[in-house]
Amino acid sequence: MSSKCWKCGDTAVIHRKYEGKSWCARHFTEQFESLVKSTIREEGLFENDDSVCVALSGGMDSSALMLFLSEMFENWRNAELTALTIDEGIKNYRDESIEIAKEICDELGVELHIASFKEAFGKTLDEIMEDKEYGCTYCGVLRRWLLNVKSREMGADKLATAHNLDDELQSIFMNYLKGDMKRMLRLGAKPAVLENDKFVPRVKPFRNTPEREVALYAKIRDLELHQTECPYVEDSLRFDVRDFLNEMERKRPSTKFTALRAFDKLLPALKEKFTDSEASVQNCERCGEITSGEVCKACELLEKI
Amino acid sequence: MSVEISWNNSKKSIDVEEGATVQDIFEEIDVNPETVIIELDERVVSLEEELNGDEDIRLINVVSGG
Repeated sequence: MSSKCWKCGDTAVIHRKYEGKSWCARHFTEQFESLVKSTIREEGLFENDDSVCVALSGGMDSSALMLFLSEMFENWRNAELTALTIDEGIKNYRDESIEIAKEICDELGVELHIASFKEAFGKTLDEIMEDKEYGCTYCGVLRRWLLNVKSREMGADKLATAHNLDDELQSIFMNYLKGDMKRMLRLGAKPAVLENDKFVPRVKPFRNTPEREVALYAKIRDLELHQTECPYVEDSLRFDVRDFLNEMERKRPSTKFTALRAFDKLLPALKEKFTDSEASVQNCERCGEITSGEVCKACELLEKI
Repeated sequence: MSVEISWNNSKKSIDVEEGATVQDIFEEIDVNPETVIIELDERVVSLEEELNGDEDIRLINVVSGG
């Protein structure tokens, strides 16, 4: 016997323990989209005439965001939507997801830009990692640098990323565990806007939505799920925190929401304490991009390759 | 009765009692249901779905590595 949607009695595709309700595909989708729109409205993520660039990897989260925003922006006559994919140069991994990104953008009629590590830094990630360890460090820092530079060159007012509730909460816990309070300011659906014209503000429409529900939305909307694991994925603090939070959620439903809301209550106080001093930014003396020190992390890493 | 369950390149046949639900399957395998979408005979179902036996269950991993 099927479990039933609490609204219409159709077969349920999800039972949310944190609210004690089951949902069919149609009502889950409606409710999911309504929640994301609430986040966008309440946090003021977009203006009517924004040029928005979606960071599109071709994975399920960013593909779902691309689809969601393209449908929402159909009714925003003065807004513009583009996509940016970073090709790190990871054989048998990124090439698959780039194809998915191309297909999605073709179907949606969205202009896709592809920026590569090879073109920007002279080497692919595969080439960088021939004599290095900690691929996620190189990849993460260089990818963020390139996303900012390229989206700015594309004329974007906002860079929309598909960070979800799980991503956000993992970052919060990691920062606590490392004692890195000023990094907390980078969190939130609309992180602290840096007073620097080289910075493209980032927005996270899925920030209040659990990862599992973003994936379910992608599945229901028939998006191709890129499931190949990155060859450089490594055991990390993020994985430990992720597994801990998922286990807590299994045992004590709504843990994740409660923890995120608690952080949201703290965030204004953190901004007040750190924004004016320790979180201030300047321009890297080598590349001219934003940094909190004299030389940005990307330039520090590039010196080693 | 039994069901076939596949996840992360693993496959296993599990005996289940009449009236068992998908939730009961997770008692037999080392997977947190918070980390997967569940397909039963190629349709997405919830943890509360009752099993009839002779079904194929596929768990789609949703946790990202980044």
